[in-house]
Amino acid sequence: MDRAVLDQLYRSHGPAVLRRARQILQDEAEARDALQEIFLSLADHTSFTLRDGNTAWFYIRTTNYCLNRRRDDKNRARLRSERLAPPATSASPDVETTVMARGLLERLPAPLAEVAVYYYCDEMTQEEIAGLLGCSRRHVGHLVERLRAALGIAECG
Amino acid sequence: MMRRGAECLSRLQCDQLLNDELAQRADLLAHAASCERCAALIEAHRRERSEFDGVLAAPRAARRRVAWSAAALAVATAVAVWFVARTRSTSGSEPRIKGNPALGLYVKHRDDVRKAGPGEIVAPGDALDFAVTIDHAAYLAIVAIDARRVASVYYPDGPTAAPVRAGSEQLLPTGVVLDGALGLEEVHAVFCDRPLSVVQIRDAVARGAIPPGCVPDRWILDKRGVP
Repeated sequence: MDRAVLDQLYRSHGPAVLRRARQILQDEAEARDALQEIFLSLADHTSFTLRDGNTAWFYIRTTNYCLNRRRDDKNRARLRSERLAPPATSASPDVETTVMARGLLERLPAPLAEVAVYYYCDEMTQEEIAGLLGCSRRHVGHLVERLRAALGIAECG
Repeated sequence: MMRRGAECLSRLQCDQLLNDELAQRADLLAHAASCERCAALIEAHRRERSEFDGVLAAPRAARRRVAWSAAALAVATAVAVWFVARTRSTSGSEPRIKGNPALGLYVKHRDDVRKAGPGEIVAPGDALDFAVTIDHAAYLAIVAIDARRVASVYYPDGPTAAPVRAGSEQLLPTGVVLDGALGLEEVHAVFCDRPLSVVQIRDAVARGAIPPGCVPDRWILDKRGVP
């Protein structure tokens, strides 16, 4: 990919990528590392072009990248420790805090964790999530129901 | 932050709005003018952008395009051992159907070149080259999905699926060097009847779908951090 295109993508989508990485990883250094990784991974994508819909693509890419990284990180307990700087998000709904702070994401199956981020952190409607993931609204509704059940079990447990 | 109303912006919509990706931009801005929540959200996102001062580092060479030398290809051909079974998208134990297009993989690990077999174990830094067998002309894109579920286009370099002629074991002009993402990596060859956009093919494969008019062949590589 041309460096100028990469820089343009970085300026346009970097803030959202960094915000999402901070939300999920809960660690400033990890989030900035994820930001760099995600954009540098595009360097060899000669086919990636500037177009409508890139924002949604970066949402999905960053969410999956960070969820996998957090799930796989052997030191994730360290990432959630209080000594780390709080995430500099533009909004922090209560449920978002609950989902992110209690390590629930690692315990959720991957599809539910992804939906949890979109539903609670982004406050997307089920229809929006369906559009983002390319599936039916009914399927998303089913996932949200499973998610609610899973969160209820986790909070009671 | 107030709860979102039915007409309110999600964060995705807010980012899309600021990136000029939404057709209903005027309507959303009109709504935001009378909605405390959305006005605050847009303002927060604008402030976030103005404070974004990160600098993108120099691109790495973790996964770069390679063109193998004729000598390497000759070695590859010389050491090739045809496999009799492989992981396929339709069924892992399904016998190869005559007439189905097929993707062959060559793995270059350090100075050794081998033809990939079922459950091939590879390592970061290994080079992959591709050979296709097909009994009719078609258009081809190769998409990989790594263990993190990140989809990458391995072939071609251009924006649309590249033409391939009928033939056996046709080596493609470029290959890739594997990056450091460990775990199972899927390599999907998608043979289509028209030159679809590689982005369209990549996105479809990432969703577990195949565009209409296309036929897939799939490998699963086990990428391990072995020396």
